[in-house]
Amino acid sequence: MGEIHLSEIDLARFSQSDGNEAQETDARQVEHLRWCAHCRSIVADHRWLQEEVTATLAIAANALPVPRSKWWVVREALSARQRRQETRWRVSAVASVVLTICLMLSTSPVLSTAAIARSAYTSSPEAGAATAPVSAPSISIVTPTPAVVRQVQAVTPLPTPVLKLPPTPPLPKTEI
Amino acid sequence: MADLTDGEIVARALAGDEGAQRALYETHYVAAFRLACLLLQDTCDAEEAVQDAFVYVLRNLHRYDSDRGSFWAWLRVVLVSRCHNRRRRRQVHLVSLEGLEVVAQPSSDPQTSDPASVLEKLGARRVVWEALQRISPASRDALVLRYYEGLPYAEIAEILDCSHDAARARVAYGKVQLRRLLVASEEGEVCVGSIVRATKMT
Repeated sequence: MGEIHLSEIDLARFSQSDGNEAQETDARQVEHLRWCAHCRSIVADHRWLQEEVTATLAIAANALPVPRSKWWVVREALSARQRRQETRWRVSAVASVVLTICLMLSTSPVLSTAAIARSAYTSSPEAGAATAPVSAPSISIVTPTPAVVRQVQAVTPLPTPVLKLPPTPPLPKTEI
Repeated sequence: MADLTDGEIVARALAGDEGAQRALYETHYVAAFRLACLLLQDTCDAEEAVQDAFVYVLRNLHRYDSDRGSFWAWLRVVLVSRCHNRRRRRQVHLVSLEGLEVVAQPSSDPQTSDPASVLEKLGARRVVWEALQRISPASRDALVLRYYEGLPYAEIAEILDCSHDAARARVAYGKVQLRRLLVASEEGEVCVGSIVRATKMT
């Protein structure tokens, strides 16, 4: 007799069904199991397996050699992480302060790049040597010192070229 | 700490109390290790997975919501995830088959107990234990969560990040694989129950 049996996965799922899942169970499976001894035996196998797996896992788990707990490993990992986080915070705080200072310097009119360059130029020794002769006479135009006045008086004035204009020609007489 | 509830200990740990953090670790360490070992079938990997899970959990204690479940339930979700990651890495390195045999090998040290040698004394259950190590990891996870942790399918689905039906299917498929392995191990026999019942009698 060519019997069509239910698939094993369906039978395994059927064997798992408890009170809550009974409503979901296909009535066709129940009907089939009523007359099919082969499928009934598979369901019985799966129910037996459930009990065996439960017992085996419980025994195996209890038989496992549990190593001593290593709290220090967990604590080290936690504190290492905390240290890394603190370092990251510090570095970012320093970086932000430096960045703020740089921004302030670059935007300030007093401490602009031109002013900094000028101050750098005047403060350098070469720049001082070059400017020294220019500022050496220090002659004030507003209040000339007597020595300067004497110097100016002593200088003989340059001869002024005499401008000689040619005589104006007489206007031609016109007859009316 | 003994008379405090998990919620109270978590609150203290969250406030930075190292004693409370340690109490959480010590309370759940053994259960976590056993579950990880059943999932990974390797004691070294299990130990590392447990430590990873605890480091994550203690670092993210502020995420724990006691209304959603116990501390152990939360730790279990994290632990299963860590075990999956570890197994994935192990598969990449192609050493999984050897790794699966580690727990099954009888211990040379008589002082240490191991599941295989204990189950040897019980006869038939050793066959089931060895078969459990040969089924697919996804099915084994589902079987362990269902029959060792005793979880409902809804919770298994949440932990394994799959649908309720998929969780049921994984458990069913795990049992199908187990039955086939047991049948194959005893040639000529048809019924698994009868094989093991016969083994028990001998």
